[in-house]
Amino acid sequence: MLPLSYILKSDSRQGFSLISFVLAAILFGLFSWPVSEGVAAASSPPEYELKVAILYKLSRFVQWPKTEGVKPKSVNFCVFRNDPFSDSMTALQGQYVSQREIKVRYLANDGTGLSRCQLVFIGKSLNDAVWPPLQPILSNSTLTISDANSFAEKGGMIQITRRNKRLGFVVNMKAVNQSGIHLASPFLQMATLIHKERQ
Amino acid sequence: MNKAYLTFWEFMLPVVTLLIFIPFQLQAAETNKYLNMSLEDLLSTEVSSVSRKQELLKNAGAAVFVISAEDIRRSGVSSIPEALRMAPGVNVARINSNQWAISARGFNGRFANKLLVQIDGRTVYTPSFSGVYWDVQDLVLEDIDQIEVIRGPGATLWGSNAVNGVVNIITKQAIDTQGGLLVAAGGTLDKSIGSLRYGGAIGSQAYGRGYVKYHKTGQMQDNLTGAPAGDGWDSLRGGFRVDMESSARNAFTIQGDIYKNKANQFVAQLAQPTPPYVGSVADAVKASGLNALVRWEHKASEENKATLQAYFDRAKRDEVFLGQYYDTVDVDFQHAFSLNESQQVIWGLGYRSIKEKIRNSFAASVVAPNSRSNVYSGFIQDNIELGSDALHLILGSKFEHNDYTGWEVQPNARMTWSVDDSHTIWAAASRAVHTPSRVDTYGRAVAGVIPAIPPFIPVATPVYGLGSTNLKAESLIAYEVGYRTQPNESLNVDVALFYNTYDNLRSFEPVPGTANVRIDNKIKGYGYGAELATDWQAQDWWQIRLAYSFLTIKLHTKAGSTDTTSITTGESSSPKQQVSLRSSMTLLSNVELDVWGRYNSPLKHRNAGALVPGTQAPAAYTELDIKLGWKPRENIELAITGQNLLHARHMEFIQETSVQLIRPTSAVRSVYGKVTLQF
Repeated sequence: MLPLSYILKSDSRQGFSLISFVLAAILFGLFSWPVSEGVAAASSPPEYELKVAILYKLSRFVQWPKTEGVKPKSVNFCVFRNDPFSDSMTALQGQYVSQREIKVRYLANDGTGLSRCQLVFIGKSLNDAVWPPLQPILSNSTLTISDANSFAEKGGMIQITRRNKRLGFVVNMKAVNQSGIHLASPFLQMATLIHKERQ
Repeated sequence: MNKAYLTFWEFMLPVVTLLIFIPFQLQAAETNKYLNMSLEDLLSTEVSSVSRKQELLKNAGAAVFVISAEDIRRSGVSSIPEALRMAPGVNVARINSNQWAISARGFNGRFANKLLVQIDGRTVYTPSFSGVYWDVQDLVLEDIDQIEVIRGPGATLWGSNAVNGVVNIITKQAIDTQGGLLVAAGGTLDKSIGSLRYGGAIGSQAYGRGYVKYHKTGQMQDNLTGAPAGDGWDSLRGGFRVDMESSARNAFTIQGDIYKNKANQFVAQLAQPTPPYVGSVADAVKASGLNALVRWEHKASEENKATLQAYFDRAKRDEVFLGQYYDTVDVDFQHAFSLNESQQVIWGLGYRSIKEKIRNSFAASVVAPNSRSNVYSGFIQDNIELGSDALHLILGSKFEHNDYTGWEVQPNARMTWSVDDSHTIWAAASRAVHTPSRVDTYGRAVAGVIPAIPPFIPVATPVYGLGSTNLKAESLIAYEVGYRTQPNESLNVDVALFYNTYDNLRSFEPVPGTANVRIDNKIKGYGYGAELATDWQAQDWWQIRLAYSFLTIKLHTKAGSTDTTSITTGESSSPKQQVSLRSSMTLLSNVELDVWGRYNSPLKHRNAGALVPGTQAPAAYTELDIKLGWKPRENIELAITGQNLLHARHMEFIQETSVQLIRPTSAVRSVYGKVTLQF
């Protein structure tokens, strides 16, 4: 039962040279793709970098209910359950909107701290187990935004949708009107509105 | 003329080709250039289809491939080993119904020991031979979040035995598996699969899930006769996971599993002490075990995180020729922090204690069978940003002390360069070791028995293959280079090249004055190859994925060795080329059709003809799986999957000769239907 010996075949030296050449040729071909010349030229942005920029820009069209007396110096942008998006959100830390400094906060899974957020971005992984328990904790002055499916239908204020490689908005007017938040009309004109109340 | 080493330039030609295209200017990558665009412009910008998976891969300085939950679902695989076939550079060979040989970049075998496999941070290899018994690694496949396959030495972060690669199986967090999941399947080879999982909230801060799974698999066929191979098996397991966040800074996870397996194997030639000195047995392998893991993650800030993890793993396996019982306790600590603006440091300490009990038999035994061994380890890694954010240098090392070879140091250096948003180049040089296992040091296997022929040979004398306590660790120095690109928004390409030099690989040398052989370290050599993975969204409804691997290994003996067979085994243990091509189509709105073609080169020298006359070495094979799925409603999926459809049967691997001979077995054409219900 001892293993028998086998004759070692000669090595494939010629085979390797060929492979070396073929690999070089493949790499040559891949590198011949046009390398991007400018910053915004060839490559499309990753979805979430675009979403972060959108959050930043749309916040300019948002008017939060005034708090008595004090004019707040900062605005809390909170992130709930959205790895790895949260890494991109750090790009907003220290930026300003309406003369208020943006502070980015990451919330725990039970939503602790939600009431102190002016804006909360809720991750795509939102499911029916998580959304209903959140709703009672939401305060009147928290703008809820998400890219989760059917978010606006389920009571969220702004849903970022994607159709044919472009992003868009669905705004649940009933939810917005029930809060103290006001969205400027230039923004509403870019969005699809649902649950509009009769004027 | 035989040439043992390739020339420096034969290796450098592809590398130089890669390097000459590097643009001279380093383009500083802005953190988010879209912040300056108006809202109207942002809405009219086309978005790329880079998935989360691709983003994770983009900056990885290693040959990483991610098998996502969606890949697992659409491919129709019914086990973790079968899912690994989707990764380039990983050779998965099904030996029989309950045994697989799985390795990365060469040296495959039933007892392959150069691939580190972890499930949720728990190492699943068995200390007896540092390999994996795949029949006892199972999960509710639908609850797997992703499987990360890293080819190349992962030594720095994960430790010894990640010589040729690491497989990290990660399950979904409890919060993402809420509600009920019921899976029921049945077919010709996967006779029945039943899984039930239920997840719910626990109080206001925690989520948990529990599951139960039963899997019964039928028999494959004897390679020569086509008769049932007597290798059917079944497995019953259950487990749970609880995730809790006590605050924004602290998260805890507790999880555990328990399992019980029975697998049949027909042992064709088993050494016996009495005439005729060899016999055959229809054996039933009984394996059972349980594990429990606790993990605490503390986030002081985004730049400062610590993790403390402890687990206990008990594994029992009883076969006719050996009984193994292992209790493992492992404690690991990791801390990641920003040293300054351009350096991220991770360091850690680990301790593992393994208690062993062995039941010996005549054919296989471990001298000094009850023991405890300890491994102490530490690692440190610094990720240094050079100049702009685009260029990173990562330096690290692992330090480990084990009971067999003492201290081992495994340093590694890598560089990643994000040329721009759509090109990344990386290169690495690393050292990794594979430390001896229990069987390597204290094992003793009977290769045959010399019958008593009085008066010349007074008593029957066993001929042994022996382990050695002087065995050194096998070592590897790996040079790798890779390139990841997205040439246009629907195509991703990932290429990795590697050149490995091996030293102190095991050989078997005769023990003077006897017919025995003893394990030694007298083989060295090299291996080189390339892996290619492409992901192409051909249409909105049609995605095509290709994985290609090329591998060559050349070994030779060192001075003083007379081993003539270990070289051929090492060189022919993995195929020269592997191709996996998957087409995923979404037809109508709720019908999915997946077609998966695979090709493996032949294993030329793997010839068991001497042991089972008439057996040919495994030939090249091409095979095809087709899965058709239908979702009549959002929460129900009906699917039918045909596997290995092109041939009634084909052989993928012949188990390396060890103490027992399992007759070569062929994989068979099979089909199964599955219902998945979420409630």
